[in-house]
Amino acid sequence: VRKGLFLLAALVAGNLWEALSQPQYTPGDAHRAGLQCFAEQVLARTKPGESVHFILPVNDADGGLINHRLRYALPGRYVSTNLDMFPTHRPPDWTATWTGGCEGSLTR
Amino acid sequence: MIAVAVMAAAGWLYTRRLAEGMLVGGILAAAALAALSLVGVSWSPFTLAAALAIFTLPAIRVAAGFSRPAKAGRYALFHLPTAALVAWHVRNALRPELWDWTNWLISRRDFFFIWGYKARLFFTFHGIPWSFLRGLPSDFTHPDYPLLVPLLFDADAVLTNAWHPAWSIVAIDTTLAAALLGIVYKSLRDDFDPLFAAAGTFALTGSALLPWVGFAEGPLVAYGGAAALMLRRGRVGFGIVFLSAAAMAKNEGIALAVAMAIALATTAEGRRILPKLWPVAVVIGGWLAVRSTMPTDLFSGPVLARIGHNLADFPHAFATVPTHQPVVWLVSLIAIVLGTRREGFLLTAAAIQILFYLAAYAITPLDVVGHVNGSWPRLTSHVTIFLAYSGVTSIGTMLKR
Repeated sequence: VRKGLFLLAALVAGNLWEALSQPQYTPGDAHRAGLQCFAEQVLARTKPGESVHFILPVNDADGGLINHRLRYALPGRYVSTNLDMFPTHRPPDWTATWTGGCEGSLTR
Repeated sequence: MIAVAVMAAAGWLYTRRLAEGMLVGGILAAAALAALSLVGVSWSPFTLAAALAIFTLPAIRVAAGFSRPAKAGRYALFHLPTAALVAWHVRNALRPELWDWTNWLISRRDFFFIWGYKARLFFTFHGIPWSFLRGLPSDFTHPDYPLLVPLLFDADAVLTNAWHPAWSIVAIDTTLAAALLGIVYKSLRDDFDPLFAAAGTFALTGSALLPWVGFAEGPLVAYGGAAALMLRRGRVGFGIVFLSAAAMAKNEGIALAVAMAIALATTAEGRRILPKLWPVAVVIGGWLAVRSTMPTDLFSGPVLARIGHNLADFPHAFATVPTHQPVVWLVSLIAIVLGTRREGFLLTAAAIQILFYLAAYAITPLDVVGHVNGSWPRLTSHVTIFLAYSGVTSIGTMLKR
């Protein structure tokens, strides 16, 4: 019985300790908020099913996965960038060039 | 939030029980959205409500087949610590940093790349855009993954006509986990007194309330864990429904169904249950037929050539990465070894599932060290409830002596 009580206490304590130790996160990034704002503009000016190729600064590659980040911000659009880890070969309907903040150009 | 209430109500009509009802209701909502998409009806609050009404009509006849609800409230105070941890989980899951697109957290990639992305994509199209999905790359989006989870995440967005992922997904994820904990308590009550069952349930909260909110892990563990406990109790009907849902939550859920089938085949009692699980095989077979047109990456390239190279990297890959809830794993394993009671079905299924994961690492086309470090805690969370439940019953049996 004593062994059982000790194990139960250890199990409860282990569960509690792991539940209470939460990782800390930093708040959002203002520079990326600009890209998010620009992506929202691109979303408003394009239609579902169209493809958009983004031209971005090298620092915003997110390890070559920035296309996936932008895909979430532009649901229904095929998104590629100049920084993709796995480049796609779909010809873009649009080219979106981000120049910082909420600014940039969108051309056919 | 609305979706949770609708799911609970729809499921309750079938089951007359809150925990099982919530899990069934989630399936009904996802199935209603999938059915609307299959017949070409655009998603809207009205069409979803109508589809759900049609789906719950058979409940008038079916509900009579389920047992009466258990008496509630008598031991409610025993559950206060568990309720407190559920509230703590909700508080943590709602932290804005987790849902902020600008954060680019590596640990949140699967939400923005896969589960949240697909849910938002479907919501944008008011249905499942099959041809668009086929055009997506398989690198990180995984268009070949089953669709139950994005459909679950869409229920609230469709009913409210707005995409607000944090509140709606946290509500669904937490309610499914709480439903699993309800089933854990009932299963423990089969063998133990209310106080120990409540303490055991509290010890298992971290096995059900996972930190990866917005991923498929929560629904997979809720449905997979519930299926295992139902099959263990001989409740085959619920076992079939929940195991089918687990298989449709994630590819790992399909592996879990196979693992449970193998585990059942190892005992005479299990072999009597096994043929009754044919609907699960039909669901998985149907999905695999649909999926055959989607790009997939696991078996791409020279699979055999990768095995030797990846196996050689295993010691390095597993050197520093822990399981999910390592203390709970350790204590549970000690209790199982020291105890006289063995949860043969749960432990066999968990061991086979872990072997499947090790095999997947052996053939992965990705860098195996990075793959293991990025996924091992999450993958082990799929079976933590199996192991921890076994640990709790071993401890309970020690205390009975």
